[in-house]
Amino acid sequence: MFVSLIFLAIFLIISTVMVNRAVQYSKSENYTVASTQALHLAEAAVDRAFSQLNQNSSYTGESNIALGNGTFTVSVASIDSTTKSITASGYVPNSANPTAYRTIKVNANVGQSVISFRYGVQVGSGGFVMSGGSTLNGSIYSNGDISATTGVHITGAAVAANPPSLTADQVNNTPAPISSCTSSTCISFANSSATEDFSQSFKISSAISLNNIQFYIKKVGAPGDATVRIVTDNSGSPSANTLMSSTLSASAVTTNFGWVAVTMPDTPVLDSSQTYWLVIDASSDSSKYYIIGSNTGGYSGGVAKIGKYGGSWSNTSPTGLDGYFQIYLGGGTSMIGGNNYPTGVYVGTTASDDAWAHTVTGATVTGTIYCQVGTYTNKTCNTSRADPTSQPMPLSDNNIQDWKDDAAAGGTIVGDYHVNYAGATLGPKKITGNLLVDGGGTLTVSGTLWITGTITITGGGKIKLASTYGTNSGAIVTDGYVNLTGGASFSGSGQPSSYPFLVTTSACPVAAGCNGNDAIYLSGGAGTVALIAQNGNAHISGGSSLKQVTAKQVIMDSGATLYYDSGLISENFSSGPGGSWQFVPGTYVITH
Amino acid sequence: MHKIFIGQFNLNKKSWGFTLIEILVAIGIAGILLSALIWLFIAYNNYLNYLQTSMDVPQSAESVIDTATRAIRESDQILSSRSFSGTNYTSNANSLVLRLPSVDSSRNILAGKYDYIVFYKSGTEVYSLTEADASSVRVSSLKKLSDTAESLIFTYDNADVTIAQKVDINIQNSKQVKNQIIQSNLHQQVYFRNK
Repeated sequence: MFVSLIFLAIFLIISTVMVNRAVQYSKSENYTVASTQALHLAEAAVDRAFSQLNQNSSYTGESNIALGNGTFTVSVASIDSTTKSITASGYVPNSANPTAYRTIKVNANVGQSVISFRYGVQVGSGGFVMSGGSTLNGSIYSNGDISATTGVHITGAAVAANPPSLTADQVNNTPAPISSCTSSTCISFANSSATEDFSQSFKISSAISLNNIQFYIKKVGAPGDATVRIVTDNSGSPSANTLMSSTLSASAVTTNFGWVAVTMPDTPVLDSSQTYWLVIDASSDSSKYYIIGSNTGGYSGGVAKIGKYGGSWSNTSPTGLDGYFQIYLGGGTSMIGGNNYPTGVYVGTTASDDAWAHTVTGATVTGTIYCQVGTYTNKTCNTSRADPTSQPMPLSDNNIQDWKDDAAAGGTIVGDYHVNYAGATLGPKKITGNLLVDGGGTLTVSGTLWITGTITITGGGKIKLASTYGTNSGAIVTDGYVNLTGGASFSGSGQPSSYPFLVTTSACPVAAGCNGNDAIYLSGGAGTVALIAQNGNAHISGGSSLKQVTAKQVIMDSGATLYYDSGLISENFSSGPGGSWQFVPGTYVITH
Repeated sequence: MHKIFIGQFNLNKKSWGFTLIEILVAIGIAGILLSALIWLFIAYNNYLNYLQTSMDVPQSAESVIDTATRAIRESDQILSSRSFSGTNYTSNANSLVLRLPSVDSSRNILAGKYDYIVFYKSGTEVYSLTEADASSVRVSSLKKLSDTAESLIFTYDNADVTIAQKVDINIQNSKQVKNQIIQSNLHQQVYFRNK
C-alpha cells in the first residue's frame, strides 16, 4: 500500500511537470505563430491605409477590422501638409484578449519630383515649323530645323541643333530590360569612395561629331546630379584629362532602369582610332547612389572600370563587365529660316537674342548669327561657335511611368469620363477611356490623372488644379491625342509656380489610330498650361498662350501667337494631397 | 491431546514474527521495487531532459530568426562591413551587419542618426551585438540568442550585399541528449521594409 502511494506520487509529480512543460511549450509556439500573424496583419493595415489615403486624403484610420485570424486597427495623423504618420496594430485573435499583438509605424508622403524645363519651347528632331504670320513670344531650342519662311517672328533667341543619327554608333544594351540585379548585370557606384565613379572605354566607328550619350541607369535614394566626362585613355584606365563634360540630371533617372540621355555642350569630333572613356563622376553616399545595367563582355570596343576620377581605377567585380550605354553621332546639320530673302524670319528684339545653327538662311537677326553657312541674312556668320548639340527632352520615359503609377494608385475608372456644366473633382485616377470636358464645365484635378484614351476640351471647358496643390504643379498624362479647342482653358492652384502639365505619350499624327490628329492640337485659349508631346506633334493655331511647350515637332500656323513665361527651371511636381501617398523609406519601425 | 506446532505461530503464547526466509523475500521484493522505482525516476528524468531540450533547441533557433527578422525589417541598409568596438564584422554567409535608423522613446525616427547591429555565430553560440546611437531608445548590448547552433547561413539576393533587397536566414540547431541528437532547422526569407 505504502509503496503504491510512493509510485503514485512520483508518477503524479513527473506527469504534472511534463504536462506543464508541454503546455508552456505549446503556449510559446502559439505566441510565436500569433505574433507573426499579428505583424503581417499590421503590415496589411498599412497597405490599406495607403489605399484609403489615395482615395481620400482626409482618411484618419479605422478600428477592429477583422482580417484572417485576427483584427487590425490603424490610425493616420498629419505631420505636415505633405507628410502623415501611420500607426497600425495587428491583433490575434482579437484586440480584447489578444494572444499576441504587434504595432508598426511608418510615414507617408505625397510623391514629389523635380523636373527641369530649361526652354520655353523645346522641340525634338521633328523641328519647328512656323507659317502664316505666326509669332513666338520667347526663345526656342530645337533639335531639328526651325523652318520659318513667311515673315514670321521669334522675339527671343533661336537655336537649331544638329539632330542625332537615328541609329546608335556604339551600343551595349542587351539583354534588356534587367529585371533583377546580379553581380554581373548591375554595377553600383557613387556608394563608397572606392566605387565613387563609373567608367567605360569606347571607340567610335568614324570621325563624325558626337551627338549624345545614353546610359541604362537607375538610382537608389536621391543622389545629386553627376558629371559625365569624356576623357582620354591612360594605359587602360581613364586619365584625368577631360576633353568635354556635361551633366547627368538626377531627376531624369528614376528608381527603375531606363535610358537617360546626356548631351555634350557642343558636338566634338573624336578620333576613331583612339580609345576614350566615358566617366560618370558622382559624389559618394552609401544610401544615395546609382546603378548602371551591365553584361559580361557585351561590348567588344572597351571595358568598364570602377574607381575615382583623378584617382585610381579598378576592374569591375567580376572582371570584364561592360556598362549599358549608347553613343549617337550627328545625323546631319540643322537650319534656321529657309527662304531666299532676309525677311523670311525675324529673330530677336535685343542684342543678346542670337540665332545659332549650322545654316542660317533668309533671316533678320537682332543679335549675333552663329553659323557655318549663312545666306540671305542681315549679318554675316560668326563662325566662332561649333554647331549646337541636341538637348535631351525634359521628361524621361520613367518620369512619365512614375506619374502613371501615381494615378493608378488612386483607382481606375473604366470607360469614358465626361465633365459637363456641373463640373467635377477628380484624382488621382486612371481612366481607361477618353476624357471630355465641355459645356463650360470645370474639371478640378485633385491628383495625377492618367487617361488611356484621348483628351478633348472644348466648349469653354476648363481644367484647374485643386488648391491643395499649393505651389506644386500637377500632371495629366494621356496615351492618346489631345484636342484643345473652343476656348479650352487651364489654370494652376492659384499660387505662383503651380501649373497643370498636359503630357501625351502619343506619336500622332504618324502612329496608328491617330486618324490625322496631331498629338496635341491647340486652337486659341489655353492659359497657364505646359503641353508635352515628346513623341508627336504639337500643332498651335490661332491666338494661344502657353506656359511651356515641348514636342517632337511644333507647328505654328494660321496667325498663331505663342506667349510663354520664363523657362520652368525646377518644377516641383506633386500628385497632390489626396493622391499618391507613398511610403517614406527609412520610417518603418516595429513599436511593439 | 497434544497439539503439534510446526511452522505456525503459536497463538496461544501470543508470540509471532517473520522467519528469515520471509524477511529475505520481503527485502528482495522491496529491492526490486526500489530499483524499479529508481530506474523509473532516472528514465523519467532523462525523458524530461529530452523533452526540455527538444523544446529549447527550436526555441533558440526561433529566437535567432525572430530577432534577425525584426532587425532586417527595420534596417535601411546592409553594410558590407563595420567595426564594432575595434572588431571588424563583414556581411557574408556567416554574419550580417545592419544599419537601422535610430528611434526615440516614442519610436519616432531620429533623422541622420543610426544604430548598428551585427548577427554572428561563434562556436555553437549566436550573438546579436548592438551599437546604438546615444539618443536612440535601442541599447548597446551583446545578447546570446542561441548556444546550440550548428550552422547559421545568410543568403542575399544580390552579390553586392549593400543593394540586396532580401535576406534568407537558415539556422540549424542541434544538441545531444544521451544517445539522441535533437535537431531543428529553420529558414526564413525577409524583405527589407526600409530600403
